[in-house]
Amino acid sequence: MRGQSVRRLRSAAATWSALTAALGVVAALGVFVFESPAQRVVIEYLILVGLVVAIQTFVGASGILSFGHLAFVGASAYAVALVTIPTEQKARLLPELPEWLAGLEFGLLGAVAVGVLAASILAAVTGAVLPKMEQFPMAMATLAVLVMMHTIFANWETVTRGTIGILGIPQLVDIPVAFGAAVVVVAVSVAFQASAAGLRLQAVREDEVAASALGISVVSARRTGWLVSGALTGAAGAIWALNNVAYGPDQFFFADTFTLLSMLVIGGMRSVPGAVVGAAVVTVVSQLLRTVENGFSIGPIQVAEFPGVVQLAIALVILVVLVVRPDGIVRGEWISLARRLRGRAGR
Amino acid sequence: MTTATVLQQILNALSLGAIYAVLALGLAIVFSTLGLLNFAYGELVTVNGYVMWLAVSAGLGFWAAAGLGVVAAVVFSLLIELTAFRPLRGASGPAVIFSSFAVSVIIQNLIRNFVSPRPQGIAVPGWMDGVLTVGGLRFPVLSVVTIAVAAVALVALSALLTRSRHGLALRAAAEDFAVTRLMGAPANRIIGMAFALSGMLAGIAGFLWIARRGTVNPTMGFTPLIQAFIAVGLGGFSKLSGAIYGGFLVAFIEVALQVALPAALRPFTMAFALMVVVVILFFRPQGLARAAEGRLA
Repeated sequence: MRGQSVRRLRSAAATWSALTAALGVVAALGVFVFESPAQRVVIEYLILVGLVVAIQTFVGASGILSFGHLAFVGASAYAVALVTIPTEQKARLLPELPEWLAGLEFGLLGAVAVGVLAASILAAVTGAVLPKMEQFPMAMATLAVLVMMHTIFANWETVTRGTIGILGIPQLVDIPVAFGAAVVVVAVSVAFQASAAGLRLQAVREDEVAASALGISVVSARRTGWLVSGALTGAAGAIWALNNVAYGPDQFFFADTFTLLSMLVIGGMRSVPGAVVGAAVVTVVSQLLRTVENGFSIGPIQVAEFPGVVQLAIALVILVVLVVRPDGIVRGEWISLARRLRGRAGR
Repeated sequence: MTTATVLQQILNALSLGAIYAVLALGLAIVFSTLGLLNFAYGELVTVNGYVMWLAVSAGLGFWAAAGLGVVAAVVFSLLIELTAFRPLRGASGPAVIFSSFAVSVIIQNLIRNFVSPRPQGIAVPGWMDGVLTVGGLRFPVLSVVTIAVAAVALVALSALLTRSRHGLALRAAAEDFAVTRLMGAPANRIIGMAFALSGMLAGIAGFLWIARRGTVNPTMGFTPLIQAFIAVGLGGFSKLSGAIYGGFLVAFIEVALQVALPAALRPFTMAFALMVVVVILFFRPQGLARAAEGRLA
């Protein structure tokens, strides 16, 4: 038993170091090599890694697709907005806020803590009900959570400014911050999935009946994963908010749910490295196609703009990936690959 | 509130419930056969709507256009099976849900680009907006037509399921797909039939939905999809009839909230309705119509 858990922790640490190194290379390229527009892409990519890994923590370990995680991002982002917008501007934008809230002006760490708190509260409330359901009903209920929170974001005008959206959030994220956040999220996610609670959740994913026969509570295993993943999504969402500085309810809805989940599915939802790879693939495809979306010209030929081509292309990539490799680009192979390499080195 | 307005609201809830019930049943048929959610289900309503819009714009009569729309929904349902489900037989549940999600995104974006991102109006015949007055009570024609069409669809479907050999195979597959295959029923034909029926129900419900709204737009399938999901979840996944009860229940919750909520809270109707649903599911996680004998896992 003891040797097992040491080996598991060591392999988790190895995964984390490898991913940190890979993300470090991307971040270093962003800081030292790239110019300004490409730097934005690097920041966005690192933030996406945080979000996708946070979602993977639940979806990958439980095998239940969640459409509700953008509600965590939204809850976190609005909470961050309430505590970071400069006081004067806040008085103008949201005159009806209670006094104690109107006076708050938090920095980066305080804002992230508030974001985590907001998402955790939502996760605790929804976590009271959702994990009791079976696999597919729960997936469906997560969609209901998304719709419910979207209705609230879009209509609670005294706090969210409704469909107009909120603005004035300070830009506190640069490449080192985004890198640091991604690395921390990866660390927590990898540690959770190597922990006893994480293993219980994976056991439930593989075989519910066998897992409960071993004395594992299916409901509490799923609830723990939901809470950890919700809190992590809150952290990643706070970073997202502090980078985007202005947003509205539609940014926490269906389109972005699709984008984030597609990264997970393309990369392989069973492993954290899969999430990191998937985020990279989708980012590259989107960047390449963004020019097509806005229209461009080759010499005298004017190519008309084609709105939605990015989403369309990602959807097609997903269909192809799912048919060719239903488990995504990085299958469960990550661990066995690492083990094989280590075995070879030892010999 | 007078008795007449109460009756009118009940009629309103019944006609909305009839649409939701048909929608939910179409979703439940595929779920019970394959054990998988079809995320592109809402797009069948969209496709139905756009075919109707094209047909009406081309000068076809309203009912002929509606018929064409239903046929298109059936064809698309089969196409969705071929592209999103058949290549992934045996893959994990999330993978298949996601492939149908991808198909729904593709359909939405194609319509957005090749038709228009803006809503298009469909002229509903004037008599459908009329009102029948019986003994001092006013019945909107549309509500009556909706309830009648939905009732015919549900009765015809139940006759098909209980009286025909194919229906028997389908019901058997819903109970236990593996054993049904062992009995010699061809898997792909049963699945195809489930998708065809699902498309037909989506088409009929879509027609009624569009007659209510009078417009079509690329993301119009989203609300029907959500309502169908909730109805099926409320009714319980174990029985087809649960979807019908669930559909009516969702409509009654929605209408009751619209009437009861103060004007300031009315934009939140959807959020409150979902909260009510979540509370119900908290006490009955398996839905309201529990199977007589509990299924393992």
